[in-house]
Amino acid sequence: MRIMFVADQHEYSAFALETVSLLARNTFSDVTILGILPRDMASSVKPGKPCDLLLDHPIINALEKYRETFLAHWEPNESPYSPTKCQYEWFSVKDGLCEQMMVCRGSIKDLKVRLRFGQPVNETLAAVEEEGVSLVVLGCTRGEECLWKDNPTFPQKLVQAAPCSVLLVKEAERIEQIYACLDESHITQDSLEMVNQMAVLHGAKVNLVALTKGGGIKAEVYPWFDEVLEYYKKKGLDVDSQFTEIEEFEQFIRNKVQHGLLAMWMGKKSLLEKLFHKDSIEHFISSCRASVLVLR
Amino acid sequence: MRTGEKTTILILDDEPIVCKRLKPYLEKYGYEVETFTDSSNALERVKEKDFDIVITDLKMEGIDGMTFLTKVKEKSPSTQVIVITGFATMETAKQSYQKGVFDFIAKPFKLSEIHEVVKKAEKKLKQE
Repeated sequence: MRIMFVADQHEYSAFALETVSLLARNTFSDVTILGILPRDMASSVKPGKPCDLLLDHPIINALEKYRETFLAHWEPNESPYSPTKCQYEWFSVKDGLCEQMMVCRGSIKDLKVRLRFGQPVNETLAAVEEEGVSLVVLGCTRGEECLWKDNPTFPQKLVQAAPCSVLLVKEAERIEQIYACLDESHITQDSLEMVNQMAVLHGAKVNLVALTKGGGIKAEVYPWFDEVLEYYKKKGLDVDSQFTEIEEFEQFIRNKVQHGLLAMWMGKKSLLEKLFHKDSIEHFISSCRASVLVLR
Repeated sequence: MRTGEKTTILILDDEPIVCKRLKPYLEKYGYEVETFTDSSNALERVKEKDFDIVITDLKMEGIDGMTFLTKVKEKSPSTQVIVITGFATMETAKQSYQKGVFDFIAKPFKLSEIHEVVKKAEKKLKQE
């Protein structure tokens, strides 16, 4: 698994970093910490010159701090990210000029800290594609909203557009229950495995929730539901199942999913998408006070 | 590793879909791939043949992945073992590295991630 932590300089990002660190401790994943600045700031950056001296923006210090905080989660000599593999590598410092520089990479796994310039959603999607990321993690404001301070709709737009699973970290609650909500979305092997990892990470019970309409569940969905339930049982997870009317889903989130992780399958065929049109994911993420995992 | 011959890979995962995804993908890059969903059968095959690279799941019925990789390394210390697991913990990761695995990859993963790790393992084999 490769994890991308998309961060700005605000408190909720620092908070979400704790979740990234926890995930990394369990999964030994390659991790990229990504900051994004406006495209016009790219003109300040010159090849071969240190970016931190050329850019005057709080994200620079924040990214540095996130790297240090992330690495501090490990005991000395135990970190797979400790930069022990040092070697000279060639870098292009300007057109027609390469220079050898000493680079220290992680002993077993990579921790990259990167800055991109441009439109945040597009840059994140490009980074996800280039690096083969399986999970994007980001923090957002707590309570009944999920925003970024300097770019309020970024989390929700990213959730809509991302080709992989996205974990939105909202609250510091201990996750004891995962509510994995299933309608008629296509269920990928990746998404099943993502729920496995989250359940193991938190030692959480998985509640498989089938969304029904008028008391019924589509004939083609029921075998899926049964199959997923059996899959988790066979894997030895603590798993239970329940049904909830789709019209009452928001109420269900408000009442039940306050102390856990809401995991939602969001494929192209999702009933939720049809019922609530393009606002559906934003709507439910905002309704939920707990963290949300959008599965793909 | 023999020069000029295809790199041989054994994949063991009790979920057929994992083998189904990995086999054609790796074969496309010229690897010789054998897949197994039953660890006993995979172990029998390992007794017959030394593979360059072994990719194994950890949590399986019968012989588990940790036992399997231990036996692989006993039989063929030069084989590079890559662990893939849907139930990753810090303990299993550390234990895997202590047993000499080349890499530990938590599921889900993109196929390109596996390919990169296989290429690194291949490079190590050529250097040894």
